[in-house]
Amino acid sequence: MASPILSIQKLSKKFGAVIANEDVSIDLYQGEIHGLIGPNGAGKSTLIKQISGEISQDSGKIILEENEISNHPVFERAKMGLARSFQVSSVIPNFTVLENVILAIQGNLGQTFKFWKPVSKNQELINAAQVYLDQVDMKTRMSVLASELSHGERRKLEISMALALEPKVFLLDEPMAGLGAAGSKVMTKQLAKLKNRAPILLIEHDMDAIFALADRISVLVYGRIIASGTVDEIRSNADVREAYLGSDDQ
Amino acid sequence: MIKEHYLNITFVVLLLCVPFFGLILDEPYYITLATKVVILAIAGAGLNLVLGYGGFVSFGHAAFFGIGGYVSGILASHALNYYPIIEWPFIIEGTTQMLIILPLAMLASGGFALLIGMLCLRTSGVYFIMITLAFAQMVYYFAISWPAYGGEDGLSVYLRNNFPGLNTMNGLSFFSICFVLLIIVLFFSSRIVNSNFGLALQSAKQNPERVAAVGIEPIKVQLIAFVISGAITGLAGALYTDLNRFVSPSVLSWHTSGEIMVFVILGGTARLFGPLVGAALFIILEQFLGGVTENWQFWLGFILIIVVLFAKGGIIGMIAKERYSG
Repeated sequence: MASPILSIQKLSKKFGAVIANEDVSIDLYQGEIHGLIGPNGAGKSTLIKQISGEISQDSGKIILEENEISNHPVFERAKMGLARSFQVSSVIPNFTVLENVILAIQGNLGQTFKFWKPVSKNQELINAAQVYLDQVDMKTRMSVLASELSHGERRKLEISMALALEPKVFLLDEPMAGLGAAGSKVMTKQLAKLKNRAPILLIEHDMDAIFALADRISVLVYGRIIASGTVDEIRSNADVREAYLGSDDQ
Repeated sequence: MIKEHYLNITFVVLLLCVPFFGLILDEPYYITLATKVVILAIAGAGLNLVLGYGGFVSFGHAAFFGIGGYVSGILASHALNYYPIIEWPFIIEGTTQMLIILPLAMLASGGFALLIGMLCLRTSGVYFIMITLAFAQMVYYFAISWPAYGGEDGLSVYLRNNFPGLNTMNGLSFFSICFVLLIIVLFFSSRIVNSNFGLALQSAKQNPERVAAVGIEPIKVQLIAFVISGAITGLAGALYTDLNRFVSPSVLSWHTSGEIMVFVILGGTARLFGPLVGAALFIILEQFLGGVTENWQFWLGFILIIVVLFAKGGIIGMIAKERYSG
């Protein structure tokens, strides 16, 4: 088997006496969506924050394409190719959709320390941003302030910003949250396309979406991975049914 | 609603009228007042970069203003005394050349901003306010207890520094120098604010986590803005010494920090010409209300409260079209 793009090895974190996660290992390979499911409070979001660098781990390693990034700050990990979306969508509210994407492009290209040329006259950047917006069907909304977008549109903008980072890995924290049935369907299509760009580690509550999308699934309960395998393996796993699916009444 | 652009031009034209009225009415005092407005507006433009666009409240800009002021005062006083600043290991003489003094003042205050910025920017909110205040007070007490340059009594400079081709002791010439510098500073600010750097700076104000998540280090962006801001305010300090031909520790006190902040907030934070409008209003109130009542600052406070409560974009925001909410 090829070597994984992102490899998480025995990651552990305690907050005081509370175990956030313990010995979590996940490998993410090119071209796949790896779903991460688990009941509320299982430590899914903590894990995403550890991978993106917002929370440090007590022990364990995070390796991105053979580079250990366990102790790199958030912005360096982003620059090295980790693009994340947030559980509560996070954009720059008082800037336009276009400016938000341009921010992501300049972050990726390291063009932040240009002091003279107005962004609004940088046609190259604007064209590049439009391409990324087009991929999520948001080009028509590019001059709207991000704060005025609907919830679903803000989700799309986040995906577009993630695309603009030209990442090696997408970390998506509940991209369907609050989208409703129709919105979820659109987003499911988006994500299916997205995985051809880079593999996705996907946290999601929407079971239909995750069983439809994921190539492999890991189940996190109380900070530990109790099962990991293909969709069919997870469906038929007795522990998973008991710990999670059974109680959730699919 | 008027476009902000036209409003800005109107204010500049009004400002330019003042010294010419002073000339026609033979009231050189008006020229001095207009020059003071221009210099204070430069100081405010410096602060506006961090307070308005960067979103962190520096209560220590008096330090940059004062350091610029003392660089100018010290260099000039040595030149006028024919006494070198240091004699060993090599001789450094004072100078009265503005073209040397002003860049040096900016370098010194910008350097100090770099030094304290690295520490201060690790904090935020109230802690940032307090730590910048603390550093400024350190410089203040240092100046008071440094007898070589007048200590508490301050340092007099008998002549204004020289500018090639102009007689700086002529009020109108000195005003012109300050005015051109203000326009340069504002032009430079508008370039920065609208550049890629400005986008990152203003984004970091709104959502630093998001900025880090796209691979930009927010603190690095903020530190550079802080240094540019300190250097601009230092430039104003150096000009202020020239205007008064005097510099004393009072320019370093926290009152100065507060006043610069008032210019920015009165005029409108994150508005390019906000500091100019704020400084002008401040001086007008000081002059005219100050002539009526000794307690004019009560009325200044009253106006400030009204502006803060009801006009989020300051005076400019009140009149001009809303762009981004600050």
